[in-house]
Amino acid sequence: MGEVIVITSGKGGVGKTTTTANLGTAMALMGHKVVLVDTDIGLRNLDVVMGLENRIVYDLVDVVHGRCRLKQALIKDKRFDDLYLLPAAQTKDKTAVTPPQMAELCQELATEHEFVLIDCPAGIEQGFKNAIAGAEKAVVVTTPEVAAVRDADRVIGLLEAAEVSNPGIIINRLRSQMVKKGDMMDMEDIMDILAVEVMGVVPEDEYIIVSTNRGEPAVLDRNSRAGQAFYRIARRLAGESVPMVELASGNGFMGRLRRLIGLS
Amino acid sequence: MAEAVSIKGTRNGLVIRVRPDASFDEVKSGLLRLMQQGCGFFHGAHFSFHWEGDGGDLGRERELEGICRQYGMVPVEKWSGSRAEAAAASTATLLAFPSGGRCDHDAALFYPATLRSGQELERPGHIVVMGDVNPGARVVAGGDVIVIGTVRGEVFAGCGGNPHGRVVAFFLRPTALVVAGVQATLPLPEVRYAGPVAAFVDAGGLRVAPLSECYRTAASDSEASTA
Repeated sequence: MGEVIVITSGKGGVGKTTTTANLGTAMALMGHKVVLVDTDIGLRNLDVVMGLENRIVYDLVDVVHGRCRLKQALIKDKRFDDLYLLPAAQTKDKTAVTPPQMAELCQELATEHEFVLIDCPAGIEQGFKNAIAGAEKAVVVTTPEVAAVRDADRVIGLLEAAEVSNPGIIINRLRSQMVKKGDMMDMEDIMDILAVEVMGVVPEDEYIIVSTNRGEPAVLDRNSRAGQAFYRIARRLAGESVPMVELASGNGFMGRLRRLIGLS
Repeated sequence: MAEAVSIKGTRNGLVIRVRPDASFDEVKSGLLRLMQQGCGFFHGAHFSFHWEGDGGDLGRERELEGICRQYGMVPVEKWSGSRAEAAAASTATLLAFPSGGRCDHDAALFYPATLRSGQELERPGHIVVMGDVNPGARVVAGGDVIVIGTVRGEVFAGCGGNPHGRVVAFFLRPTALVVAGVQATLPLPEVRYAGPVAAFVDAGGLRVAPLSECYRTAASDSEASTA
């Protein structure tokens, strides 16, 4: 039986879909059998970030309503041995699916896959309730901004109330130079408020914009600092013990030299 | 073997403790015996039940309450929350609060975790939060609010006209702070104290000071009222 993990945040635009795509891809690279589920019905994006938008025939709502079999709706990513996507419907809304239906779907997916990663929509309404219904673990994505941290805190409270155990957080888009200048919250500030395990810190990286536009997750690029951070988080999520890396800017001469000789 | 029922006096009234392994008949007869032995001693006293272990049955508690009422006793206000919450509050009642936060509904509610954004606690008595009060969370108490952590959210103490309410925390960085109807001007000055900090109202208005100072003010108030 696989593990069902919801990637959520509360606030929109913090990088849930990018995180889901990169963690799923990294896990597939590690040799795990993974399925990504887009639960953002009406505003699907995960297919675009994965570069699979042209292959959608059936979607999650079709499966739940019995219009097709689960296997017909799953899109296999041909770049990997065992990575699948279950896309959301674009022409319906969040009420097209109920939490019990989602729980049943997740259960079915978990029998065939080692990891079921659920991309949760922004907000805490029906879409959020659907996304967490079948999850046994949660990853809360936040950026180092007061508004995002407050929303993450709200979501952690709701996850605890829904008995989704021990949510971990990913701090996305951290700018170490701004932290050094005291213009941005650092990991400690965020930990102080949220008081949950930090699964990893992802630095701000322009390459993410390029990779999402191309439909090629950043973990596939060894030079992407964000991609490598996601890879380390995926290893932690899969149960490996991976030490946290101190985020320096890495763009100076020594940083470039270290990368050139493969030390980082 | 301990008695099925025992009565303990606290500053918040009498707490009737019920042994968890005693049968209901034993409890009932034990309570009746205590009442008869009291010969009217308990008349007018406020009381609450404390069920040791998992807690008692609400129907049975009402039956016992009826017995106490027959002897002129007055039940303290019940919690509208869950039984577990009520049990926690009942235990809290047994802990003596330092004088100063006088309150008509003197039972306290323990909240055993950090209060997160969007969560709210509201009680007529005291509230103790064993964690932080995060931004977006709100605590409203008729008595004191004690936070074993940092206050970053909204805190209202001494609501409903209680002038003795106060807020005590390790760190006070609230987004809203109202004590006994007096609203604090925010942000509060960045002053670090060696111990817990208290927000309370005295002759000079709302003050934020070390907790020890709050005790001194409460003590001098009570001396003045005695004189």
